[in-house]
Formats: sequence, structure tokens, C-alpha cells
Amino acid sequence: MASKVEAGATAPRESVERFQKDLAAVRSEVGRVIVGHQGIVDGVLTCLLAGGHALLEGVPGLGKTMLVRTLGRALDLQFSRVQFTPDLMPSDILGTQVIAEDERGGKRFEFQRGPIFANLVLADEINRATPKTQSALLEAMQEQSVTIARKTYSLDQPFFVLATQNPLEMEGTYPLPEAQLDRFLFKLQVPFPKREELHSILDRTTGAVEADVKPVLDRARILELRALTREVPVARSVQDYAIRLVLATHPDEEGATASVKRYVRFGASPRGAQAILLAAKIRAVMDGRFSASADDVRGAVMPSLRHRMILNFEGEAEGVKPDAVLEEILASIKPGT
Amino acid sequence: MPDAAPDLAILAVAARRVRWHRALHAAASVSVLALAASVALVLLTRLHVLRVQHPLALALSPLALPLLGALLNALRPVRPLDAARRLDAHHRLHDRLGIAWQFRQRPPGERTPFMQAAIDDAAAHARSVDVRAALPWQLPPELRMVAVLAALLVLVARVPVPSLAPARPARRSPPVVTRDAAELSDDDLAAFREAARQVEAQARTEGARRGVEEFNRLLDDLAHRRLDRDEAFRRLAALQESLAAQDAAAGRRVSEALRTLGDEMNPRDAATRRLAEAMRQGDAGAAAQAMREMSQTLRQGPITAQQRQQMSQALQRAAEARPDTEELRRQVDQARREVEEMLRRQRERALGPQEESLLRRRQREAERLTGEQQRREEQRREAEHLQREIAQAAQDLARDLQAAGADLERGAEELSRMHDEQQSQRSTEELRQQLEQLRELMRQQRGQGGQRQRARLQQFSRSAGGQQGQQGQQGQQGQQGQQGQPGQQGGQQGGQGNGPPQGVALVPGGSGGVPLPLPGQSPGQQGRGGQPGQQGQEPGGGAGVHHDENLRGAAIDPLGRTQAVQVQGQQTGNGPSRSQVIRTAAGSGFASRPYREVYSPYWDRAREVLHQGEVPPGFRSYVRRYFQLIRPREN
Repeated sequence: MASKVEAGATAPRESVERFQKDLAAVRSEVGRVIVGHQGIVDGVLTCLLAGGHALLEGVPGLGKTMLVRTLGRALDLQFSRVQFTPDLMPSDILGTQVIAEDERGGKRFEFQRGPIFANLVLADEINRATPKTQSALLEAMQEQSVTIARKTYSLDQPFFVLATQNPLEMEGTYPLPEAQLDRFLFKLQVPFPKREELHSILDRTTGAVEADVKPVLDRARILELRALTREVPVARSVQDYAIRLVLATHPDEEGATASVKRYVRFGASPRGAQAILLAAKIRAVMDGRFSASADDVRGAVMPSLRHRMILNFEGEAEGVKPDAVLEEILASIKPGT
Repeated sequence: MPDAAPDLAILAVAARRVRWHRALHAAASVSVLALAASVALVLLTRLHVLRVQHPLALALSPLALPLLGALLNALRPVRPLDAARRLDAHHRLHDRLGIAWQFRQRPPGERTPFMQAAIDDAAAHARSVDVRAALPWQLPPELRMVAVLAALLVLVARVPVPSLAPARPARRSPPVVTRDAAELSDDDLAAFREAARQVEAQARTEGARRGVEEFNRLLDDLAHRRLDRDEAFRRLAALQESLAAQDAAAGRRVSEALRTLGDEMNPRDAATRRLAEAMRQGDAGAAAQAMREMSQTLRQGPITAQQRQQMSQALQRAAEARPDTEELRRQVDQARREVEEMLRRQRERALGPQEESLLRRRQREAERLTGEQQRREEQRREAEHLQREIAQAAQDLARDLQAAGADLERGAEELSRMHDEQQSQRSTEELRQQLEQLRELMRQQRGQGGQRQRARLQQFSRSAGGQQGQQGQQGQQGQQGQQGQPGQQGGQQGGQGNGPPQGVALVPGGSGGVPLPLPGQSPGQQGRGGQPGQQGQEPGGGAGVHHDENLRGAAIDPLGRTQAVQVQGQQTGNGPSRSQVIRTAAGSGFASRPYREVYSPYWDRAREVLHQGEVPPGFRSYVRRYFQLIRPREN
């Protein structure tokens, strides 16, 4: 309960100011390497502070892996990367029992930890692994622990998984099931950099000097920040707005829009509402405020819900994007009505 | 932990402002509806479609609605949260004020440090909030429509509009063309409608008014050709029956009763002279007026003792006047005894033809006398109330002038009631005549139409109106007239053909082709008509009593294509009847008096003649028709 103590001991105003300062430092360090993508960086940080995991979707070469690696360096966290391939096995991620020989020549099984035993795990191209392997990762993400040979190993906190997937090359892939997509707090779509950003990328990556990223947040501080965000209150009207937005994604609910009724098979789960509120709180604190507003909720809707809505056949056939449906919902559902 | 309530007081200010905004917009919205309603009401009132006692008040009453709407919206509370949202949105405060207001609703003990920090933060931001900028006064968009409607209201209220009232029946009943529809020309319809208006103006009783309404409906149906001939005749018969059911003799009884009273009063007595004269003339209206004046004289004075005495005696005589029924009763008794004696003889033995004839005459005489007795009895009852008041006045005159005046006032009211009865009886009688006229017109209508006849009518009407007619149009159609109608027993009847214009020329009398008896030569024309018609070489033995009510025979063919029938008149010694021809306007020179002034005395005189029975019943409709055709028109 360090966070409670910290929040109680320090006035909220100072806590929030320190939060902003720390986040600004992280952004600054990441910005040394990563050009643009401020929204993606903030989204990833939001997931980290909310205790969730992020799914990054984008074509290859946009710097997803670089972003995660840089973040790991700036946060001073243990970083591991797993390149998902069809022949990847669960044990390749979780670890396995191996026969080890001690000094006296005795042999025994010893658990060899897999790459998941890190604070920051990059699951690159997660949709290329088989469902069995994906499940192993996703179960660890949910349980925050790994059980091997009847023995449970807790994962160190903070435990944060960043998964990436390529939306174009779908052949030979295993798309994540809806239930497993729900485990990700955010699904962030990495856009192609703009012209000016490309200039900067080329300048930084083709020169002789390589940017040096220093760690600015340690593990303990991250946990403090996590606790701090949980202290942020949410007014009833704001919470009600988030609930109405989530309900509006369900075709059978009263506030459902025409697109939802036509293209959506299932709406977002309660996890979606949790994700929205947590993200709204973090956005409020990032902005120096003491409570989440309706604007914060609106800002969190897209990354929180886009992977939680299941389109029906007509929606899939017509290539409807969940973002378009959500935009319509945001346009029709107003706060305070 | 300081409470930031004073800083959030701005929410109350904003809520008040929101309330006033809402009131203004509600007033504007309701004004649109209210003004539209007012415009409609004023328009309907001005078009006489809507008849109300206070049209202005009715038209302006919807204008109270905007005030009501504004008041309700001004009084309806506004949640501070709603006002806070408006301020937050305008100043981009990320719901700071709204959230702080919600947190402040919690008890202080339940507030977390972050909640209190949020409240403090909102209070700090509230200091820079400009309520006026966040909630600026905006004119409601409906104001433009309000202005347009207000201008329209003024326009509708001021600009003269034609009355649509007469068009209402037409709108109520879409025109339906009926096969074999009874048809009347617009001119005829206008004449009947004008007559109906006059009758309506005189009608005092509900029965008379209902009769006029039904008559108007019948005219409307005829105008729109909604009735075939059978239906038209059926409606006519029904209306005539309903009029006949009314007490047609009531007015006459009133007149006779008044005459009885007037005869008893001294015509030389100055105080009661006017009353006596009015009563002798049977004019209940004038009598009521005279009696009111007497009441006024008694109440206001001065009046001498001699005048009082004379007045008292005159009134006493009037109060005691009774129709002479004693002699009549004796005659009735005798007639009944004779009839009973003859009937007794008839039972004993068969009577000879002369005795049978005598018996029938005696029976008729007894019936007549009994009817007369009943009539006088009713006449006595008719004046009973009036005489009671007059007797009371005569008694009160001796001791209390005010009481006597009140008695006379009540008597005047009774006379007014009798006057209404007279008027209604007259109007009913007039209506009955109009119905008879309409029946005759329709009866004679069949097969008589045609452009030629219509042209003839127009020519005739022009001549009647004092214009120079065309030569000989009327006279050429002179034919051997037909003397008498079915039911008449007099005169000779000539053959058919285009012979010299002797007797009565038959001229179509309307667009529907109704024949009209005219002299052989149209006055003021140089035609070949020759001399005026001649009729009644051998006077008939008295006129028949009307024709059958349901008579619908074909009209007289003006071209004479009728079967000649020889009828032998009977010499009864009751004749002769003289024909009276009212000529149209002078053939030369300009009219020096308006035609309307000329027409009225002629028509009054003709009515008098008709009433006196000097014109055979079968011809009376022609006389009425003639005057109907030559009546002065509005244009």
C-alpha cells in the first residue's frame, strides 16, 4: 500500500505534478529515438500505468519494436522479446524444466525461465503463433503468473506485455480469438509517419550518432504511479457516460446506433468499461487534473473498444471498420443527456 | 478543508440565466402557434364562418399562451449541473465545474483528497468564468416567424375580406348531379331566397323559423340539383304539411279578438283613442305601443281625475267585451235539432231527393255554425289574459296610478305576444304561398325549357324594367287563351293554333319554361299582337278551390300543341270576375321614378286582390309568377 501512503501523505496537487513530471521525462527519452507517435507512446504508457497490456497493430517497419525497446530502456525495466512463429511452443515463452547437474554430480530438474519472466515483454507478430502458444501467453497475461510442473511462478510487477500484429499479411496467421483480444487493455493502431516525421526518422537512423536513452523511471516508481492513478475519482455523470457508450455498442440496447444494429454482432464487455475508466483517469492526471472528465472518456473509447466489438457477417463482408462504428456512437451519445 | 461553496455560487447565477433563456425561447415558440391560431380565428370571424359575441377577445386570447409558456419555463428549476456543463463547455474546463458540484453533494467526510482537490481546482477556475460570455442572450430563431405572423394578423384584421357565410352550405354538401333533377334558374332561386329572407325577418315563433330553414335547405338542394322531381315534390309536401300543422288561424283570431275589444271602447276618448284605433284595426303591435304609452302617462303624469275616470271606463268596457255567442249558440242548437229530426225521419223511411239534399245542406250548415262557435270561443280565450290585465288596470286606476301603469305594462307585453303570433302567422302564410309558387313552377316546368323561351323571358324582363322591347316578340305568340283552370267552371276555351291574339297569350315565364298569361300585345311594343286579350265572355260559376296538392301534370305548351277541350261553364250568378292587367313600364319617355318604388305599390295592390279572392285560384300563381319575374333586381 505504498501508493496509498504516498497519496495520503502527499497532497494530490503535488502528486499529480510529480506524475506529470515523470511522464514528461519518459516521453522525452522515448522521443530521442521514436519520431512522432506521441499518441502511441501515451497509449502504451497508459496501459503500463493501468496495469494492462497493449496490442499494437501496424505494418512492418513502423518502429513498433523499436518503440517497445526504447520504452524498456527509459523505464529501466527488464525487457524481453519473443518473435512469434508458427513453430513456437508454449515452453519457448514460459520456460521449461531442464536436467541440471549439481557440484556433487547429482542430477535434478530445474526450471529454466522463459522470456515471459520480464517486466516488459514484446510479443512480436503474435498472430503468427499457433493458438496453443498464444493461449499460454494470454493466460500468463491474465493471471500474472505461470504454472509449470504443478508449481506456480509469480511474474514480477510491473508485468507488461506489448504484442504486435501485422494487419496485411493474414496468410498463415492465427488471428486472436475475441476472448483473448479482450485481455488487452488497448489496441493501438500505429499509423504511417508523416513526411516531416520521415525526415526525422531518416536523419536519426542513417547517421553515425545513435541516440542514448537513459532510464528515468524505475520499477518502484512505476508501481507508485499505478497506485496514484487508482486514487483519481470519477464523478457519477462521467461514469454513467462511459457505461452508456459501452452499452451503445450492443445492438440490442436502447442507445444503439444504426451502424451498431446493422454491423455489430456483440458489443464490448464490462472489461471495456473498466478500460475506459482507467484510461480516463490516467489521461486526467496526465493533463494535471484531479478527476476524469467526459472528454477523457471520449478519448479512451477508441483504443479501449475497437478490439472488443465483434462485427457480424455483413459488417465483415462490407469491410466496416470498428472505428467508424465507434465514431458514430460518439457522435450520437452525448455526455449528460 | 475550506469549502468552496461561495466560488461555485456562479452555478446558481448561470442556472437563473438558463431559466430566462428557456423562458424566452418557450415564449417565442408558443407565440408562433398562438399567432397562427389568432390569425385563423380572426380570419374565420371576419369571413363570418365563425360567429362569436366578442371576436376581438377570442382572437386575442391565444396571445396569453406565450406568457404562460414563458412563466412556466421561468419557474421550472434548472439543475446546477446543467448550468455547469454549459460553463464547462464554453470555457473548456473539462467538466471541472460539473464534477466539482457532484463531489460537493457528498458529505465532507466521504470526500477523498482528490475529490477535495477537484473541488478546489474548480473553484479556482470558476473565478475566471464569465457567465454572460458562456450564456449569451440569443434571439430565438422563431422571432422572424413571430414577426411575420404578427404582420399577417394585423393584415387579416384590417384588410376587408368578403364574407363566406353564404357559401357554407355549398361547402358542406358537394354538388351532386341527379338524374331528372328538379331545376330552377338562378333568377328564380334568387327570388325565392329573397322571399325566404323576408319571411325569416318576420318570423317570431320557432315553428316559423324552422319552416324557413327547411325552405332554404330545399332551395339549396334544388340549386345544386341534388333532388329529382319526385324527391323535390315529396319535400315540398312534407314542408307544407308541417306548416299546415301550425295553428294558421291564431293570428286571425288575435285580430278578431282585438277588434271586439276595440269596438267597445269610445273612439272619442282622447286617453284611449290610439289604443282603440289599433285594436279596431286588429294591429296588436300598435296596440301594445299605445298601451305602453298609456302606462307611461299613468306613471309619469300629470293626469286629471276626469281623464282617470274616462280611461277607467274605457278600459272597463274593453275588459268586459265578449264576442256575441248567444245568438250563435241558439242557431247551432236549432240546426242540430233540425238535422236530428231529419235523421230520425230518414231512419223511419227513405227520404226523397229534395229531402236528401236539404239534409246535406242542413248538416253542412250545422257544421259551419259549430265551427264558428268554436272560433269565437277560441277568440274569447285568446283575449282572456289581456282582458284580465285591462280589468285590473281599470280597478287600480281609481286608487293607485303606479299599479295601474304596471297592469297596463303587463297588458302591453301580452299584446306583444299576440303581435308575435300575428307576425308568425303572416310569415307562415307567406311561406306557404312561396311553397305553392315553387310547386307550381316545378309542376309546369317539364318540357318547357329551351333557349328560345329563355330569350323571350329576358326580352320580357327588359320590357318590364322599362326598356324598349323588340318588336312584336310577345304578341306574335298570342294564342287563343284558355279560360279557367281545372276546377274553374267559367269561360270559353278556344282551339289551338296561331290565330289572332285573342284572349290570354301564353308566354314562357322563366328559364325553366313556365308559361305566363299575358295580354296579346306586349305593352310598349309595335308588334302584331293586336288588341289586348279578352276573357270571361261567359263568367264561370265561381272558382274552384285550389288544385290537388299532388298535382304534377305537364305544363301548358306555349306553342299550343295541346288537345282542345270544350268545357261548358255554369251560370251561377256569382260572377262576373274581371281580369286586371298590370302593364309594364311606359313605352315612351324615361322613367321618372325608380322602378323599385313603382313596383311595390303595384305588387301590394295585386296581393290585396289575390287575397280578396278576385282572381280565380288557378290563375293566382300566374299573377304571383308575373310579379316575381318583373321584380326589381339588385343589379
